[in-house]
Amino acid sequence: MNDDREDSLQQYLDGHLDPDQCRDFEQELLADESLMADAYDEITIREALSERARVRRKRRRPGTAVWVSLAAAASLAFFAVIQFRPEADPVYRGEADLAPTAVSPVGRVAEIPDRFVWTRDPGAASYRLEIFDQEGSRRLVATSPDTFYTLEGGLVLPPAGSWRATTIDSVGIGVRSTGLVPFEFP
Amino acid sequence: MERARESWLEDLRRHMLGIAARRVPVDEAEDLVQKALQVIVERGDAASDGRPPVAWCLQVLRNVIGNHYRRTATRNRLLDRSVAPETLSRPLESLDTEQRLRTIEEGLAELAAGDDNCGRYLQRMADGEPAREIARDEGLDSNALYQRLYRCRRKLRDILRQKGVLP
Repeated sequence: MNDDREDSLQQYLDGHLDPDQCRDFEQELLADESLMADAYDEITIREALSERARVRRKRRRPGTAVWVSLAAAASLAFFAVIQFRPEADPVYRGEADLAPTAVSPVGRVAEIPDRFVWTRDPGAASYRLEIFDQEGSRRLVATSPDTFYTLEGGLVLPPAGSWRATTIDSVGIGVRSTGLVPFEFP
Repeated sequence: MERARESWLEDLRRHMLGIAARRVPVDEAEDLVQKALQVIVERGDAASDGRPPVAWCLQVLRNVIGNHYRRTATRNRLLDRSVAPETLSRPLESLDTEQRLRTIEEGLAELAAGDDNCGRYLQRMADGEPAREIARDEGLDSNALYQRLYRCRRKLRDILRQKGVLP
């Protein structure tokens, strides 16, 4: 396979192609047996790399004895500094497992949004933003390393629709999402 | 519209059959593809979570083939049946977790021996480092890093094919 097709295949699997490019590439895929086999193999490898990353993260977690020592040290430190503690932001249990949450736009908004914002997912290498119109057709797909995406001037948003931000992990796989968030503007 | 969908599914079925038949005997391949298509038709776009449609369908097929191998391995264990390994193709999906991880480790090590940049990039990505940090450390912009990663993944794919785990 030449480099251009390889790049297109990888961009396609990363969700980096816009809807038209994605459609064109799928037609190419369905017309070419070897490209399809490459796509399947690539998906299989990504899955295995992702599994390896999960297992390594799990194995890196310290054992019980280390946790007990850390807990004891943390308790001492806590009691030593508790009286000088500044007002802190609340920390919720299980925060590390939270999927990103939509911040804006959500529901009916006063102005045409030019930026889509969501909360951080600690496991994210990047995020994929997708915007859909009312019929459910995808009007934009873009990736962002940050928890927001600013629309470029050329894009005309549908007056109502929905959007979704998906966490992309270190091997390029979408793992969690905000779910579809409706928006509407006058 | 319905006709276009049918023709799309028929193309997909043909490709899936080709892929499955390189991993399991042809009669089993037909059953597995049928199962995968059933999931695809029943669950449709709702389950794809924004992934491109064909990629999602291939992921479904991979899962169906993986489940088939797991079930077969369990059945053989329960019946105390052993199968001569040389008579079987051994695709990545058929290996148990430890074997699969070992195969991937060997592939990455071989890749790093031939191209230490590739070894380093993929290792750091697999360790969960964000792409933008890797790009910054390597003095690359994100596009250049992704492009290099694409080439590296392709090399890894070639290595795994030579090992016979991607038939």
